[in-house]
Amino acid sequence: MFDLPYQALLVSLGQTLTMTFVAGAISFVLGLPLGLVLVGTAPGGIWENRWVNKILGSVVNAVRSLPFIILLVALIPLTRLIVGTSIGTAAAIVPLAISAIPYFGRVAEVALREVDRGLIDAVKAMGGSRWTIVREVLVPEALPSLVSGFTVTLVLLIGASAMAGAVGAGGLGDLAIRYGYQRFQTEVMIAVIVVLIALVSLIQAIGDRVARYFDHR
Amino acid sequence: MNNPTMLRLSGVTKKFGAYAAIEDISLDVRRGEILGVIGRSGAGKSTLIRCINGLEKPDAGSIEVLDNDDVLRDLVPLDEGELQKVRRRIGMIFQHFNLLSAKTVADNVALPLKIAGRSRAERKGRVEELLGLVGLDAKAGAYPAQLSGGQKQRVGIARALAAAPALLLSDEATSALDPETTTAILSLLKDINRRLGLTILLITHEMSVIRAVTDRVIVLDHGRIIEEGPTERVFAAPAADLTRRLLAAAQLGLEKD
Repeated sequence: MFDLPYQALLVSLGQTLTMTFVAGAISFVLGLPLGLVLVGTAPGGIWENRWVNKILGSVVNAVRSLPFIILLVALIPLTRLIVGTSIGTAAAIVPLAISAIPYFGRVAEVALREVDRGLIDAVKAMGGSRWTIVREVLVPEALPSLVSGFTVTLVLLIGASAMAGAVGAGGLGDLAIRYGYQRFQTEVMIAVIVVLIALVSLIQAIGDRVARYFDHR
Repeated sequence: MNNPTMLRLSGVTKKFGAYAAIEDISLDVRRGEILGVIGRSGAGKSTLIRCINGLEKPDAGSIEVLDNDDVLRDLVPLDEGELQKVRRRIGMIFQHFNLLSAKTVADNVALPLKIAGRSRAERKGRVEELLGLVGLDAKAGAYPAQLSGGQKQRVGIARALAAAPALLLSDEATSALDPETTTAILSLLKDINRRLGLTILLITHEMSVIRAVTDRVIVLDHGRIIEEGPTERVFAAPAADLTRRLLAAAQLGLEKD
Protein backbone atom coordinates (compact mmCIF):
# COMPACT_ATOMS: atom_id res chain seq x y z
CA MET A 1 0.00 0.00 0.00
CA PHE A 2 2.41 2.70 1.21
CA ASP A 3 6.12 2.36 1.22
CA LEU A 4 6.49 2.29 4.99
CA PRO A 5 8.92 0.44 7.27
CA TYR A 6 6.10 -1.78 8.55
CA GLN A 7 8.42 -4.05 10.47
CA ALA A 8 9.96 -1.11 12.35
CA LEU A 9 6.53 0.40 12.93
CA LEU A 10 5.30 -2.82 14.49
CA VAL A 11 8.35 -3.21 16.69
CA SER A 12 8.01 0.43 17.82
CA LEU A 13 4.32 -0.02 18.59
CA GLY A 14 5.21 -3.06 20.69
CA GLN A 15 7.82 -1.04 22.60
CA THR A 16 5.41 1.83 23.21
CA LEU A 17 2.72 -0.57 24.43
CA THR A 18 5.18 -2.37 26.71
CA MET A 19 6.44 0.87 28.24
CA THR A 20 2.94 2.32 28.64
CA PHE A 21 1.25 -0.72 30.15
CA VAL A 22 4.04 -1.96 32.39
CA ALA A 23 4.69 1.54 33.76
CA GLY A 24 0.90 2.05 33.94
CA ALA A 25 0.39 -1.14 35.93
CA ILE A 26 3.16 -0.16 38.37
CA SER A 27 1.71 3.34 38.76
CA PHE A 28 -1.71 1.85 39.53
CA VAL A 29 -0.42 -0.65 42.08
CA LEU A 30 1.72 1.94 43.90
CA GLY A 31 -0.26 5.11 43.11
CA LEU A 32 -3.53 3.81 44.59
CA PRO A 33 -2.04 3.19 48.06
CA LEU A 34 -0.31 6.57 47.75
CA GLY A 35 -3.68 8.22 47.04
CA LEU A 36 -5.24 6.32 49.97
CA VAL A 37 -2.52 7.50 52.32
CA LEU A 38 -2.82 11.09 51.05
CA VAL A 39 -6.58 11.07 51.69
CA GLY A 40 -6.40 9.04 54.89
CA THR A 41 -3.75 11.18 56.58
CA ALA A 42 -5.46 14.46 55.62
CA PRO A 43 -7.40 16.31 58.38
CA GLY A 44 -10.51 14.30 59.24
CA GLY A 45 -9.15 11.24 57.43
CA ILE A 46 -9.14 7.70 58.77
CA TRP A 47 -5.42 7.81 59.65
CA GLU A 48 -5.24 11.55 60.26
CA ASN A 49 -1.56 12.50 60.53
CA ARG A 50 -0.47 16.00 59.59
CA TRP A 51 3.22 15.24 59.24
CA VAL A 52 2.94 12.16 57.08
CA ASN A 53 0.46 14.05 54.91
CA LYS A 54 2.72 17.09 54.54
CA ILE A 55 5.91 15.16 53.85
CA LEU A 56 4.28 12.79 51.38
CA GLY A 57 2.54 15.70 49.64
CA SER A 58 5.86 17.52 49.27
CA VAL A 59 7.61 14.47 47.82
CA VAL A 60 4.78 14.00 45.34
CA ASN A 61 4.97 17.65 44.33
CA ALA A 62 8.74 17.51 43.97
CA VAL A 63 8.68 14.50 41.64
CA ARG A 64 5.82 15.98 39.66
CA SER A 65 7.70 19.26 39.20
CA LEU A 66 10.48 17.61 37.23
CA PRO A 67 10.07 17.57 33.45
CA PHE A 68 10.08 13.95 32.28
CA ILE A 69 13.15 14.35 30.09
CA ILE A 70 15.13 15.45 33.16
CA LEU A 71 13.76 12.62 35.30
CA LEU A 72 14.78 10.23 32.54
CA VAL A 73 18.40 11.31 32.80
CA ALA A 74 18.48 11.94 36.54
CA LEU A 75 17.24 8.43 37.33
CA ILE A 76 19.88 6.65 35.25
CA PRO A 77 21.77 5.37 38.36
CA LEU A 78 18.55 4.05 39.92
CA THR A 79 17.52 2.44 36.64
CA ARG A 80 20.89 0.72 36.39
CA LEU A 81 20.41 -0.56 39.93
CA ILE A 82 16.94 -1.99 39.25
CA VAL A 83 17.14 -3.18 35.64
CA GLY A 84 20.88 -3.70 35.31
CA THR A 85 21.18 -1.34 32.37
CA SER A 86 20.15 2.23 31.66
CA ILE A 87 19.47 1.64 27.97
CA GLY A 88 16.50 0.01 26.27
CA THR A 89 12.74 -0.41 26.68
CA ALA A 90 12.94 -2.09 30.08
CA ALA A 91 15.20 0.69 31.36
CA ALA A 92 12.75 3.38 30.27
CA ILE A 93 10.01 1.78 32.35
CA VAL A 94 11.71 2.88 35.60
CA PRO A 95 11.56 6.65 35.00
CA LEU A 96 8.15 6.31 33.33
CA ALA A 97 6.74 4.52 36.38
CA ILE A 98 8.37 6.94 38.78
CA SER A 99 6.83 9.93 37.05
CA ALA A 100 3.43 8.20 36.74
CA ILE A 101 3.17 7.00 40.37
CA PRO A 102 2.78 10.49 41.93
CA TYR A 103 0.59 11.55 39.01
CA PHE A 104 -1.84 8.66 39.50
CA GLY A 105 -1.45 9.11 43.26
CA ARG A 106 -2.88 12.61 42.98
CA VAL A 107 -5.58 11.46 40.57
CA ALA A 108 -6.53 8.70 43.02
CA GLU A 109 -6.46 11.18 45.91
CA VAL A 110 -9.01 13.39 44.15
CA ALA A 111 -11.21 10.40 43.29
CA LEU A 112 -11.09 9.03 46.85
CA ARG A 113 -11.73 12.41 48.44
CA GLU A 114 -14.98 12.70 46.49
CA VAL A 115 -16.42 9.67 48.34
CA ASP A 116 -19.33 10.83 50.52
CA ARG A 117 -18.23 11.12 54.15
CA GLY A 118 -21.65 9.86 55.20
CA LEU A 119 -20.77 6.46 53.74
CA ILE A 120 -17.58 6.29 55.81
CA ASP A 121 -19.60 7.24 58.91
CA ALA A 122 -22.18 4.57 58.12
CA VAL A 123 -19.58 1.83 57.93
CA LYS A 124 -17.82 3.16 61.04
CA ALA A 125 -21.18 3.15 62.81
CA MET A 126 -21.70 -0.53 61.97
CA GLY A 127 -18.36 -1.34 63.59
CA GLY A 128 -16.16 -1.43 60.50
CA SER A 129 -12.39 -1.10 60.88
CA ARG A 130 -10.28 1.32 58.88
CA TRP A 131 -9.32 -1.50 56.57
CA THR A 132 -13.02 -2.29 56.04
CA ILE A 133 -13.59 1.35 55.13
CA VAL A 134 -10.81 1.19 52.54
CA ARG A 135 -11.97 -2.11 51.07
CA GLU A 136 -15.74 -1.73 51.22
CA VAL A 137 -16.21 2.03 50.86
CA LEU A 138 -13.32 4.11 49.54
CA VAL A 139 -12.05 1.93 46.72
CA PRO A 140 -15.36 0.54 45.40
CA GLU A 141 -17.14 3.90 45.62
CA ALA A 142 -14.28 5.72 43.88
CA LEU A 143 -13.72 2.97 41.30
CA PRO A 144 -15.38 4.71 38.31
CA SER A 145 -13.28 7.85 38.93
CA LEU A 146 -10.18 5.75 39.56
CA VAL A 147 -10.64 4.02 36.20
CA SER A 148 -11.15 7.35 34.41
CA GLY A 149 -8.05 8.73 36.12
CA PHE A 150 -6.06 5.65 35.20
CA THR A 151 -7.08 6.11 31.56
CA VAL A 152 -5.72 9.66 31.65
CA THR A 153 -2.51 8.34 33.21
CA LEU A 154 -2.08 5.76 30.42
CA VAL A 155 -2.53 8.40 27.72
CA LEU A 156 0.00 10.58 29.49
CA LEU A 157 2.43 7.64 29.55
CA ILE A 158 2.10 7.16 25.79
CA GLY A 159 3.19 10.77 25.39
CA ALA A 160 6.04 10.47 27.88
CA SER A 161 7.28 7.22 26.32
CA ALA A 162 7.97 9.13 23.10
CA MET A 163 10.82 10.83 24.96
CA ALA A 164 12.23 7.52 26.12
CA GLY A 165 13.92 7.22 22.72
CA ALA A 166 16.56 9.43 24.32
CA VAL A 167 17.75 6.43 26.33
CA GLY A 168 17.48 4.03 23.41
CA ALA A 169 14.13 2.64 24.49
CA GLY A 170 12.66 2.77 20.99
CA GLY A 171 8.95 3.26 20.68
CA LEU A 172 6.78 5.21 18.28
CA GLY A 173 8.16 8.61 19.24
CA ASP A 174 11.69 7.46 18.58
CA LEU A 175 10.64 6.05 15.19
CA ALA A 176 9.00 9.32 14.22
CA ILE A 177 12.14 11.28 15.10
CA ARG A 178 14.61 8.94 13.35
CA TYR A 179 12.66 8.27 10.15
CA GLY A 180 10.24 11.14 9.91
CA TYR A 181 12.49 13.97 11.08
CA GLN A 182 16.10 12.99 10.63
CA ARG A 183 15.59 11.12 7.32
CA PHE A 184 12.90 13.45 6.02
CA GLN A 185 10.42 10.56 5.55
CA THR A 186 7.27 12.57 6.20
CA GLU A 187 5.04 9.56 5.50
CA VAL A 188 6.56 7.72 8.47
CA MET A 189 5.87 10.72 10.68
CA ILE A 190 2.25 10.75 9.49
CA ALA A 191 1.92 7.00 9.97
CA VAL A 192 3.18 7.27 13.55
CA ILE A 193 0.75 10.09 14.26
CA VAL A 194 -2.14 8.04 12.85
CA VAL A 195 -1.16 5.03 14.96
CA LEU A 196 -0.87 7.21 18.09
CA ILE A 197 -4.27 8.81 17.52
CA ALA A 198 -5.82 5.36 17.03
CA LEU A 199 -4.08 4.05 20.16
CA VAL A 200 -5.15 6.96 22.37
CA SER A 201 -8.72 6.81 21.05
CA LEU A 202 -8.88 3.08 21.73
CA ILE A 203 -7.53 3.39 25.28
CA GLN A 204 -9.91 6.26 26.03
CA ALA A 205 -12.89 4.32 24.65
CA ILE A 206 -12.05 1.22 26.68
CA GLY A 207 -11.43 3.34 29.79
CA ASP A 208 -14.79 5.06 29.44
CA ARG A 209 -16.54 1.73 29.01
CA VAL A 210 -14.91 0.17 32.05
CA ALA A 211 -15.65 3.27 34.15
CA ARG A 212 -19.31 3.14 33.09
CA TYR A 213 -19.48 -0.55 33.90
CA PHE A 214 -18.46 0.13 37.50
CA ASP A 215 -20.64 3.22 37.91
CA HIS A 216 -23.92 2.52 39.71
CA ARG A 217 -24.41 6.03 41.11
CA MET B 1 -42.21 0.28 82.03
CA ASN B 2 -40.16 -2.02 84.23
CA ASN B 3 -37.75 -3.15 81.58
CA PRO B 4 -34.04 -2.79 82.29
CA THR B 5 -32.15 0.27 81.14
CA MET B 6 -30.70 -0.28 77.67
CA LEU B 7 -28.79 2.98 77.43
CA ARG B 8 -27.88 5.44 80.15
CA LEU B 9 -26.25 8.81 79.63
CA SER B 10 -24.99 10.65 82.70
CA GLY B 11 -23.75 14.22 82.51
CA VAL B 12 -22.57 13.96 78.91
CA THR B 13 -20.90 17.08 77.56
CA LYS B 14 -19.28 17.49 74.17
CA LYS B 15 -17.48 20.67 73.25
CA PHE B 16 -16.13 21.83 69.91
CA GLY B 17 -13.55 24.40 70.96
CA ALA B 18 -15.26 26.61 73.53
CA TYR B 19 -18.72 25.81 72.18
CA ALA B 20 -20.65 23.07 73.94
CA ALA B 21 -22.73 21.18 71.38
CA ILE B 22 -24.35 19.18 74.18
CA GLU B 23 -24.07 19.94 77.87
CA ASP B 24 -24.75 17.79 80.90
CA ILE B 25 -27.13 15.40 79.14
CA SER B 26 -28.53 12.62 81.31
CA LEU B 27 -31.11 10.20 80.06
CA ASP B 28 -32.23 6.59 80.27
CA VAL B 29 -33.64 4.47 77.49
CA ARG B 30 -35.40 1.32 78.60
CA ARG B 31 -35.33 -1.92 76.65
CA GLY B 32 -38.11 -2.04 74.06
CA GLU B 33 -38.86 1.64 74.33
CA ILE B 34 -38.95 4.23 71.54
CA LEU B 35 -37.46 7.43 72.86
CA GLY B 36 -37.72 10.54 70.73
CA VAL B 37 -35.30 13.44 70.91
CA ILE B 38 -36.57 16.60 69.30
CA GLY B 39 -34.94 19.96 68.79
CA ARG B 40 -34.31 22.61 66.19
CA SER B 41 -31.28 22.29 63.93
CA GLY B 42 -28.15 23.05 65.91
CA ALA B 43 -29.73 21.88 69.17
CA GLY B 44 -27.10 19.13 69.48
CA LYS B 45 -29.17 16.16 68.31
CA SER B 46 -26.60 14.82 65.87
CA THR B 47 -23.75 15.29 68.32
CA LEU B 48 -25.77 13.37 70.90
CA ILE B 49 -26.34 10.43 68.58
CA ARG B 50 -22.72 10.44 67.40
CA CYS B 51 -21.58 10.28 71.03
CA ILE B 52 -23.82 7.30 71.67
CA ASN B 53 -22.14 5.16 69.02
CA GLY B 54 -18.71 6.51 69.79
CA LEU B 55 -18.19 8.48 66.58
CA GLU B 56 -17.53 11.45 68.87
CA LYS B 57 -15.85 11.19 72.25
CA PRO B 58 -17.59 13.25 74.95
CA ASP B 59 -15.52 15.61 77.08
CA ALA B 60 -17.36 14.62 80.24
CA GLY B 61 -19.92 12.10 81.44
CA SER B 62 -20.56 8.43 80.82
CA ILE B 63 -22.49 6.55 78.16
CA GLU B 64 -23.48 3.10 79.32
CA VAL B 65 -24.90 0.48 76.99
CA LEU B 66 -26.33 -2.84 78.14
CA ASP B 67 -23.98 -5.56 76.95
CA ASN B 68 -24.71 -9.19 76.10
CA ASP B 69 -24.39 -10.17 79.78
CA ASP B 70 -27.06 -7.59 80.73
CA VAL B 71 -24.49 -5.34 82.38
CA LEU B 72 -24.36 -1.61 81.69
CA ARG B 73 -20.91 -0.77 80.41
CA ASP B 74 -19.49 2.71 79.85
CA LEU B 75 -18.16 3.15 76.32
CA VAL B 76 -16.44 6.51 76.87
CA PRO B 77 -13.10 5.03 78.07
CA LEU B 78 -13.00 2.36 75.33
CA ASP B 79 -10.35 2.36 72.61
CA GLU B 80 -11.15 2.20 68.90
CA GLY B 81 -11.00 -1.59 68.68
CA GLU B 82 -13.38 -2.07 71.64
CA LEU B 83 -15.69 0.64 70.28
CA GLN B 84 -15.95 -1.25 67.01
CA LYS B 85 -17.37 -4.23 68.92
CA VAL B 86 -19.90 -2.04 70.76
CA ARG B 87 -20.98 -0.39 67.49
CA ARG B 88 -21.83 -3.79 66.02
CA ARG B 89 -24.57 -3.98 68.65
CA ILE B 90 -25.95 -0.56 67.76
CA GLY B 91 -27.73 -0.14 64.42
CA MET B 92 -28.06 3.26 62.82
CA ILE B 93 -30.20 4.78 60.07
CA PHE B 94 -29.50 8.10 58.43
CA GLN B 95 -31.34 11.03 56.87
CA HIS B 96 -29.57 10.51 53.55
CA PHE B 97 -29.63 6.71 53.84
CA ASN B 98 -25.84 6.40 53.28
CA LEU B 99 -26.13 3.27 51.18
CA LEU B 100 -23.05 2.17 49.26
CA SER B 101 -23.72 2.93 45.61
CA ALA B 102 -21.30 0.30 44.32
CA LYS B 103 -23.07 -2.52 46.16
CA THR B 104 -26.39 -4.17 45.46
CA VAL B 105 -29.22 -3.96 47.98
CA ALA B 106 -28.36 -7.47 49.20
CA ASP B 107 -24.65 -6.63 49.60
CA ASN B 108 -25.49 -3.43 51.48
CA VAL B 109 -27.62 -5.36 53.93
CA ALA B 110 -24.96 -8.07 54.21
CA LEU B 111 -22.14 -5.67 55.06
CA PRO B 112 -22.67 -5.51 58.86
CA LEU B 113 -22.74 -9.34 58.85
CA LYS B 114 -19.53 -9.44 56.85
CA ILE B 115 -17.97 -7.06 59.38
CA ALA B 116 -19.17 -9.34 62.18
CA GLY B 117 -17.40 -12.23 60.45
CA ARG B 118 -20.44 -14.30 59.46
CA SER B 119 -20.08 -16.88 56.71
CA ARG B 120 -21.39 -16.31 53.20
CA ALA B 121 -24.19 -18.85 53.69
CA GLU B 122 -25.27 -17.27 56.97
CA ARG B 123 -25.28 -13.83 55.37
CA LYS B 124 -27.41 -14.97 52.46
CA GLY B 125 -30.12 -16.43 54.67
CA ARG B 126 -30.20 -13.43 56.98
CA VAL B 127 -30.32 -10.95 54.08
CA GLU B 128 -33.33 -12.74 52.57
CA GLU B 129 -35.08 -12.69 55.93
CA LEU B 130 -34.39 -8.96 56.42
CA LEU B 131 -35.43 -7.92 52.93
CA GLY B 132 -38.64 -9.82 53.56
CA LEU B 133 -39.13 -7.94 56.81
CA VAL B 134 -38.86 -4.55 55.10
CA GLY B 135 -40.82 -5.69 52.03
CA LEU B 136 -38.03 -5.51 49.47
CA ASP B 137 -37.54 -9.17 48.50
CA ALA B 138 -37.76 -8.28 44.83
CA LYS B 139 -35.01 -5.69 44.97
CA ALA B 140 -32.11 -7.80 46.28
CA GLY B 141 -30.10 -7.47 43.08
CA ALA B 142 -30.88 -3.79 42.45
CA TYR B 143 -28.46 -0.94 43.10
CA PRO B 144 -29.49 1.87 45.48
CA ALA B 145 -29.64 4.40 42.61
CA GLN B 146 -32.51 2.39 41.13
CA LEU B 147 -34.65 2.75 44.27
CA SER B 148 -37.02 5.45 45.52
CA GLY B 149 -36.26 7.36 48.72
CA GLY B 150 -38.62 5.20 50.75
CA GLN B 151 -37.12 2.01 49.37
CA LYS B 152 -33.62 3.29 50.14
CA GLN B 153 -34.59 3.89 53.75
CA ARG B 154 -36.07 0.39 53.93
CA VAL B 155 -32.69 -0.93 52.82
CA GLY B 156 -31.10 1.33 55.45
CA ILE B 157 -33.36 -0.19 58.10
CA ALA B 158 -32.67 -3.75 56.93
CA ARG B 159 -28.95 -3.01 57.03
CA ALA B 160 -29.19 -1.48 60.51
CA LEU B 161 -31.00 -4.59 61.76
CA ALA B 162 -28.71 -7.08 60.03
CA ALA B 163 -26.39 -7.78 62.95
CA ALA B 164 -29.37 -8.04 65.36
CA PRO B 165 -28.52 -4.87 67.30
CA ALA B 166 -29.72 -4.23 70.83
CA LEU B 167 -30.36 -0.58 70.04
CA LEU B 168 -31.36 1.29 66.89
CA LEU B 169 -30.38 4.91 66.42
CA SER B 170 -32.39 6.91 63.92
CA ASP B 171 -30.87 10.20 62.80
CA GLU B 172 -33.60 12.24 61.05
CA ALA B 173 -34.44 9.07 59.14
CA THR B 174 -37.61 10.47 57.59
CA SER B 175 -36.53 14.07 57.05
CA ALA B 176 -35.66 13.52 53.38
CA LEU B 177 -38.91 11.68 52.64
CA ASP B 178 -42.35 12.89 51.57
CA PRO B 179 -45.21 12.73 54.14
CA GLU B 180 -46.71 9.51 52.78
CA THR B 181 -43.36 7.69 52.72
CA THR B 182 -42.58 9.09 56.18
CA THR B 183 -45.75 7.47 57.52
CA ALA B 184 -44.85 4.15 55.90
CA ILE B 185 -41.29 4.18 57.28
CA LEU B 186 -42.49 5.17 60.76
CA SER B 187 -45.02 2.38 60.86
CA LEU B 188 -42.30 -0.02 59.76
CA LEU B 189 -40.14 1.16 62.68
CA LYS B 190 -43.05 0.82 65.09
CA ASP B 191 -43.77 -2.64 63.75
CA ILE B 192 -40.13 -3.71 64.16
CA ASN B 193 -40.13 -2.29 67.67
CA ARG B 194 -43.17 -4.39 68.58
CA ARG B 195 -42.16 -7.58 66.81
CA LEU B 196 -38.50 -7.67 67.76
CA GLY B 197 -38.76 -5.72 71.01
CA LEU B 198 -36.09 -3.43 69.60
CA THR B 199 -35.09 -0.34 71.55
CA ILE B 200 -35.08 2.76 69.35
CA LEU B 201 -33.64 6.21 69.96
CA LEU B 202 -35.00 8.51 67.33
CA ILE B 203 -33.93 12.06 66.72
CA THR B 204 -35.96 14.43 64.61
CA HIS B 205 -37.00 18.05 64.25
CA GLU B 206 -40.57 17.07 63.39
CA MET B 207 -43.19 16.86 66.16
CA SER B 208 -45.40 14.74 63.89
CA VAL B 209 -42.72 12.02 63.88
CA ILE B 210 -42.52 12.13 67.67
CA ARG B 211 -46.29 11.80 67.97
CA ALA B 212 -46.48 8.92 65.49
CA VAL B 213 -44.04 6.52 67.12
CA THR B 214 -42.43 7.51 70.39
CA ASP B 215 -43.32 6.44 73.90
CA ARG B 216 -41.35 9.18 75.53
CA VAL B 217 -39.84 12.44 74.32
CA ILE B 218 -36.91 14.65 75.24
CA VAL B 219 -36.78 18.23 74.03
CA LEU B 220 -33.28 19.51 73.36
CA ASP B 221 -32.35 23.16 73.02
CA HIS B 222 -28.87 24.69 72.85
CA GLY B 223 -27.42 21.34 73.87
CA ARG B 224 -29.52 20.98 77.02
CA ILE B 225 -32.61 18.98 77.91
CA ILE B 226 -35.42 21.47 78.50
CA GLU B 227 -38.33 19.07 78.73
CA GLU B 228 -38.84 15.37 79.14
CA GLY B 229 -41.83 13.11 79.58
CA PRO B 230 -44.26 10.57 78.13
CA THR B 231 -45.19 11.68 74.60
CA GLU B 232 -48.91 11.97 75.37
CA ARG B 233 -48.26 14.15 78.40
CA VAL B 234 -45.88 16.46 76.52
CA PHE B 235 -48.35 16.87 73.70
CA ALA B 236 -51.28 17.49 76.03
CA ALA B 237 -49.49 19.83 78.41
CA PRO B 238 -46.15 21.08 77.10
CA ALA B 239 -44.15 22.73 79.87
CA ALA B 240 -41.44 24.53 77.94
CA ASP B 241 -41.91 27.47 75.61
CA LEU B 242 -39.97 25.81 72.83
CA THR B 243 -42.09 22.66 73.03
CA ARG B 244 -45.22 24.77 72.59
CA ARG B 245 -43.68 26.51 69.58
CA LEU B 246 -42.61 23.19 68.01
CA LEU B 247 -46.13 21.86 68.57
CA ALA B 248 -47.71 24.95 67.01
CA ALA B 249 -45.40 24.61 64.00
CA ALA B 250 -46.38 20.96 63.63
CA GLN B 251 -50.07 21.82 63.73
CA LEU B 252 -49.57 24.48 61.08
CA GLY B 253 -47.72 21.93 59.00
CA LEU B 254 -50.54 19.43 59.39
CA GLU B 255 -53.11 21.99 58.31
CA LYS B 256 -51.08 22.66 55.19
CA ASP B 257 -51.12 18.96 54.34
